[in-house]
Amino acid sequence: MKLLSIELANFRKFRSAITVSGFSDALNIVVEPNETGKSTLLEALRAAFFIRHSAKSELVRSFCPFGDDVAPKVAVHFEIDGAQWRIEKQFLKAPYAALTGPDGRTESDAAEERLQTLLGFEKGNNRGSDPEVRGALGLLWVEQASALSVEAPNRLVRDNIRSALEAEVGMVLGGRRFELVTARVEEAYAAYRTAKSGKSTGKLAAAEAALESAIAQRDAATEMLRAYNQALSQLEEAKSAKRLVERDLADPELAERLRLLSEDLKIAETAQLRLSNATARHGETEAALRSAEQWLQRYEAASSATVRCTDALAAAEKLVIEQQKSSAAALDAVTGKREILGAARTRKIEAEAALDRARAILARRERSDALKRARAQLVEVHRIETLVTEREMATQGTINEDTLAALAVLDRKAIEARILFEAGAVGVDIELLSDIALRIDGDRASSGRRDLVRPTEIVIDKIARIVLTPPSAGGLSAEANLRTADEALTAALESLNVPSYAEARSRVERAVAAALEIATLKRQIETLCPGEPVLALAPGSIALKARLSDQASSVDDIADEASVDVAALDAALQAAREEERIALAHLEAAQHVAHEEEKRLVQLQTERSGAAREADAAAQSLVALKAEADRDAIDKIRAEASKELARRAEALEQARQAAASFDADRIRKGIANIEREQVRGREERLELAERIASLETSIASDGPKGPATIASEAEEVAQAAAARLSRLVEEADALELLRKTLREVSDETSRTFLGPVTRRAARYVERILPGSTPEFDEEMSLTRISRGGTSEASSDLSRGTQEQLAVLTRLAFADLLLEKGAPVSLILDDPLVYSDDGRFEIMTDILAEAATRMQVILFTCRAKAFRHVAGHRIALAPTIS
Amino acid sequence: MVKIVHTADWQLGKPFGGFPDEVRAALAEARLDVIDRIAEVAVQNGAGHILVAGDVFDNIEPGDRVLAQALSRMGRAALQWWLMPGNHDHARAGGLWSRVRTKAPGNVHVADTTEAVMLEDGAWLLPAPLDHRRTRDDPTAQFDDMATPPGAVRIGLAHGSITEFGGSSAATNLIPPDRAQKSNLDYLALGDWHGHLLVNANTAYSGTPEVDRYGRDEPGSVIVADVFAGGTPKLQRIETGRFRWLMRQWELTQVDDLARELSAFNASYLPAQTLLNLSLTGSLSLGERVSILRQLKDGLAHEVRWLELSSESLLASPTEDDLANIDVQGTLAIVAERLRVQAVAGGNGGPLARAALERLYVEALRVRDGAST
Repeated sequence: MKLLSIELANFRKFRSAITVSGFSDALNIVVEPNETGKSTLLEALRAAFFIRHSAKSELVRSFCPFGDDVAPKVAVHFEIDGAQWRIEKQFLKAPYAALTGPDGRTESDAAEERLQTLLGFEKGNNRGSDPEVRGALGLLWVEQASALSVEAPNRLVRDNIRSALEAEVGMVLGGRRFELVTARVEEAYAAYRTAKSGKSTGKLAAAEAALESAIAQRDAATEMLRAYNQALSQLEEAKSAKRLVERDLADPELAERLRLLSEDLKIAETAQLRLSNATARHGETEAALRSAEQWLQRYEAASSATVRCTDALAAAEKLVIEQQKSSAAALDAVTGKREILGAARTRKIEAEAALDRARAILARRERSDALKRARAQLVEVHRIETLVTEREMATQGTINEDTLAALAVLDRKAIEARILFEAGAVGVDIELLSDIALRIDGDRASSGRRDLVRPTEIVIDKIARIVLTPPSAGGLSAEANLRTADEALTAALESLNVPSYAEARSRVERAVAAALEIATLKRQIETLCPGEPVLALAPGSIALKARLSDQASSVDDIADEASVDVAALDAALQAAREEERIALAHLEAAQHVAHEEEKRLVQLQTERSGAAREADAAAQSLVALKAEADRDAIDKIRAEASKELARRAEALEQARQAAASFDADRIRKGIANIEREQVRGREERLELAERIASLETSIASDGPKGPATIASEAEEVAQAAAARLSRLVEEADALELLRKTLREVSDETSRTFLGPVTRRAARYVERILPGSTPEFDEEMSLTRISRGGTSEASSDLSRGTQEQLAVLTRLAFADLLLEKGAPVSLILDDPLVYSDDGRFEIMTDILAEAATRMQVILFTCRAKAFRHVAGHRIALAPTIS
Repeated sequence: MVKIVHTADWQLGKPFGGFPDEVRAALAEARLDVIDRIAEVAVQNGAGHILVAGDVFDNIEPGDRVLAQALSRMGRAALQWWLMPGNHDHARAGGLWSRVRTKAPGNVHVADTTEAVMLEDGAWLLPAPLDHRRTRDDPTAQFDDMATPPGAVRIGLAHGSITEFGGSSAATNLIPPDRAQKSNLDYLALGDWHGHLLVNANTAYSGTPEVDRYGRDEPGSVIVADVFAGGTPKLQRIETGRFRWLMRQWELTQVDDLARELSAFNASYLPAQTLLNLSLTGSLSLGERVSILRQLKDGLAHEVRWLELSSESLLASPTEDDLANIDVQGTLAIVAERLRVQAVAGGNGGPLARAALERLYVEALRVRDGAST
């Protein structure tokens, strides 16, 4: 879309018609003197495209020049897709709209529709996220710096570039109005519910609380009224109950009943008296009769007892005598058995003695045999001990190993010396063939061999003298050596007291053999001495010696060789024992029997004594009774008493019947009941009176408060509170729906555009903030802009920067639409007011570059500022109509 | 002949809890003030007795303050007041009427027994008071048993519905319309129906002297009756009420309709003395609806004594202009369109969406008006 020209008449400060024309494809700068601080031309553009000709709002009315009553008019010439169009609108008075294009002219609402279709606003239809469908957003413009003023409500503090860009995108899409409306809606909503959790707050919470309180009061008031009503009911009940009670109390029938009962009572009491008398007299007679009967009984009893006891006594006597006989017999039996036992015992003792003697003889024999054996053993032991001693001697001569070894060395040395000597020695064998004297070195000598190691003189009697000189010199030393060795050996042998080494060795061997033998011999000794249990002799030679030394002489005598049959004696003894046992058993049995008989005797005697005593007693009592009275007399008394009793019993029966028909107790009970009723009635009346008084008091105190009105009022108040709450809830819900929808739409649209636009904007941002690096994520959305290496400064962005970001965002939008093939004009209303020189230049460069791809229109009142910018300048000219 | 004032249904102590405090106070005050007005009417017309046919009080125990106020006003007038228990203030032993009797000045009489009582020489009153226990019987049946001196005027006093009215089948205290004739009454003064109504030549409802609910345009009134022994009474209706309770429904299809209705209303009634229950119907644009509601809230609501307004049936169909006023394009436009679609779709969410859209409109307008300055 490209703007070609704008015409205004009666529009704000432009009372007369003006035309702004000659817009080029590139950068256009329109210098417009600006009193109101806002570009009127921009307003006119807006009006032409976005405000319905029929609108009568404040805004539209503000188009009218101040104080005038005329019709503002605006017309815009523009080009879309190569075709030229003109939209003309008049407001307020005789409003109309007219759209002229290649296919003719449309008017009024149709014109408005056509225009919108042309511009591509599918108004309100959110059919998708594709910008193409959303249409060319008509004109994109940046409002003057007033948009950044701090008076704007709910302005987010733009503290980083990304969020600033996001906010700018939101501004384009929704505009300031969206923000303001959203802010107002949020504010309004906050008076009902909390933004985060939707909890009731503010007036909604107050209404809820009010309702709760009203309900509580209503419940309380209802309860009070109910209690009051109940008190009234109870009062009525109590009053009628009291009336009933009083009626009952005053009943005349009751008195009459009472009187009758009293009379009956008198009668009953008289009958009772008579009955007592009859009972007493009857009782008297009965007692007398009984007494007589008892006496007679005692008499009979005593008589029969006497007889009985005498008989018993006789019987007992008889038994005793018999028993005495059996007791004596038993005792006799005991004595007999005892004698038998004595004899058996004696026999047993004799058998025992014989056996003992025989046993003793046997023992003695064994002892003497054992002793013989022991002696023989001892002899043998001695013999062996001698051998042992011999061997021991041999061992004593032993020579210890080391010494032996040394001796061996010496022996060997001697032999070696000898060999050496004999090697260097001259051996001379002299044999005397006759008996002549031989002298060797002056000493008499005999035949034999001699080894000479030095010159030696041999004199044979007086016949010859031979001097032998052995060959080498070594012979002397050898001889010396030999002598030394021999001497050493001899010394050693002497100290050991052996003749030779071989002897020493054999001595040692003998000693060893002897030792072994000694061990064997000693074992032998012990084996020889197994001990003799008969003698109580322990095994071993020591014990043996000890014992035999004790019994140096043979004290034991071999007693009689008489034969002894122990077995037979033993058997005899067993038999005797058996007999004894049997006899003892018999004796005990007899004793037992005797004991029993004795017991029984004692018992019978006791019984007899008892029977005797009884007989005595019976006799005595009979005597006493006879002394007391005469039996016949008593009998007569009894008969008479019996007759009298019968008479009196009859009288008693009559009195009883009389009494039964007037039961005094029952009558008395009846009287008591009536009296009790009266008492109770009076009590009840009192109680009821009290209750009535109390109820009346409470009613009198509660009534004046007006419980019924209070309850009715509380009910109405509660209902009103409920209605109010329900209304407020509706209001809150409407606001909630509205804010939800606002948020949803905002999110949707910004999602659509946010990525693409911020991406494009970021590239420009790098130019005004060198060193800042945008970062994108996988979906090519801008994730970060870092400035100077650190990501996103957290301090407030300056106004100038914010301003620039606003322009760059719109530029990015324009780029986006351009790429999509829906070019727009970028219209800027006095931008870059706060920018410093450096940034200003960069920005104008950017704009100049942008102008090469799209139409850029810049409205400004600062001609000087933009003087350096290369662009097409347009002036306002009066319309030539 | 005796001249009396027949009144009923004073409903003293009615709380009017659904109203704000100052309206409540005004209404309660009016109910008590009407007693003085009735006394005035009696004096002006030369009547010596005022018969109150039941429902003197709104409930069985309105409290001492109401009682004292009423009795004090009655006491001031040099007239005889005859009060009878109705169904709202039925008699209960030891309750309200005992206290009334105790506190009443000499000229105030309580007719709570079924016995004829002499108003003045030659004029007798036959009361049919209501007791809380007897609720279904004809309370006037006992008139037949009440004997009066020959030649005396017999005036019956009763509270209940005439059977002819055909109320619900569970109606209580049904009174036969020919009771006056049956029981030889010269006049039967009835209460319970809150409007003035002549049943027949000898029987009438006086209605309440001060209206207490919506449903009846006329203000409250009493009957001044000249009652003749054996003849037909002369009955005259006299207005005593202060407030009118009006129920109205206005249909609005264009903005001018409101102005028309308002001027008609103002011509017929005194807003200050009117309680208006107003429901609006019709269909307008969103802008028009908002404007109308604003006008009513800022204007009429303050002028009348009390305005109860319901506007659910006044539907707003957003026009293009309306939506354009919200925004022509951009997110606000989309929001508006979305809500409009929801509103049109109806169902449970329809009214809510409509309300949300209206709110959006109002806020958008405010923002725009604020911005353009």
